[in-house]
Amino acid sequence: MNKRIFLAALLAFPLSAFAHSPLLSSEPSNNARLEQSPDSFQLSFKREVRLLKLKLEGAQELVLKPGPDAAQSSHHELPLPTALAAGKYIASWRAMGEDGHLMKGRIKFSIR
Amino acid sequence: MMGLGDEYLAALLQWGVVTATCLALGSALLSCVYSGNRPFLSLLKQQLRLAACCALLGLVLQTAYTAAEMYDEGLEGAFEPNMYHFIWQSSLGTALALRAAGLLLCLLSSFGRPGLVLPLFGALLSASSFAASGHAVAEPRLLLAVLITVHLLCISFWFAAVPALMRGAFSALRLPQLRDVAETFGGVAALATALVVASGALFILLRFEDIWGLLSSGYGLTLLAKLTLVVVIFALAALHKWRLVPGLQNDGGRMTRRLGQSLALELLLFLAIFVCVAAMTRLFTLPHG
Repeated sequence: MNKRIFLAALLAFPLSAFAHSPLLSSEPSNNARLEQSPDSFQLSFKREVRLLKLKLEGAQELVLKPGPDAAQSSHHELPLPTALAAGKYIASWRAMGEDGHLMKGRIKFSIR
Repeated sequence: MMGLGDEYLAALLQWGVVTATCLALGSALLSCVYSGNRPFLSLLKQQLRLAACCALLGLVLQTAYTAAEMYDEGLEGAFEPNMYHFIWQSSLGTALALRAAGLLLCLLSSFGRPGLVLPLFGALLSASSFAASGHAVAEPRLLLAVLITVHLLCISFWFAAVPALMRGAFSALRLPQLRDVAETFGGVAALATALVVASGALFILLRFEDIWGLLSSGYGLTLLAKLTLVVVIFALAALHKWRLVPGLQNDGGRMTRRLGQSLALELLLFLAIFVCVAAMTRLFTLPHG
C-alpha cells in the first residue's frame, strides 16, 4: 500500500526540469503538413540556447548535430543533408540554456 | 533511452553532490575555528577527507550523467567527447571547475597544519560554484551570486558541525571537551544563523517578483517544505543552546546521550533539506523561468 502511494506521489509530481527556455516557433511547425521536404530545420527560442541535437524519426531517420563550436543563439538553422521521403516524422531536439539547464521538445510533421 | 526515472536519478546525484560538498566545505571552515582543539580537529579532518572524496566522485558521475542526458542515447553519451566540450564551454563547466578546485583545496588543507588560506579559499570557491549555474543565474547577477555563496557557506558551516558533534557526543570526545566545542559552536552559529536567514530571504525577494505565484508552483511548494524543515532545525538548535549544552555541566551522562540523539535528528532534517534543494534544482523549473 505504502509503495503504491509513494509511486503515485512520484508520478503526480510535475517534472518540468526540461522547460527553462521554451521554444517560440519552428520551421516546420508542429503538426505541419508539407507538400515537399524542407531544405533545413529552424528553431527559435525565447532566449539564447546552445542546440545539442536534433533527431528525426519516422519515414526516414536522421540525426543533425551542430558542430562543437556552434554559437549560442536564440535562432538555430540546421540544413538537411538530403531531401526527406514522404511520410510522418517526429523531430526531437535537445538544447542547453545559459544557466546550464537542459531543455527538450518534439515537433510532429508530415510530408505528402 | 532515458525515461521518466531519469529526472529522479539526476536529483539523487544532485542530492549526493550537494550534501557531500556542503559537508566538505563546512568541515574546512570548522577546522579554522577549532584549529587549537586537537581531538575535535582530528574528527573534522576525517569528515572532510571522506566528504571531499565523495563529492569529487559524485561530480565525476554527475558530469558523465549530464553528458548522457544531453546526448539522449543512453550511456553512449557519457563517452561522447563533444558533450564534454559543450559542458566545458557552458556555465556547467564553470561551476564544475570552481567546485572541483575548491574541494581539492579543502582536501589539501586536511593534511598537515591547515592554516587559514587553504580551507577558507577552498570553501569560498566550492560555495561560489553554486552561483555559476542554475537558478542563481539571473539579474542582479553579482548580488544573487554573493547571497547564494554566503547562504551556502553558513549552511555548510552549521551542517558539518552536526555529525562531528554527534560523534563527539556518542563516544569520541570527553565531556569537558564536548562542552567547550558545543559552547564555541553555539556562539559562532548565532551569526551563521542570522546570515542564513538574511541571505535566503533576500535571495527569494530579489529572484521572485510574484511570491504568491511562486507558492502555487511545484518549486514554491518544495521551497515551503524546505523552510518548514529549517524552522524545525532552528527549534532544535535553540533546545541545544539553551537546554542541552548548559545541562552538560550538571548532568553529563544523560544530557550527553540526549544531545547525541537530538543531533542525530538534526542531521536527518539537514539531509531532508538537501532533498528539497535537489528537487528544486533538478525536478522543477522556476514559475516564470
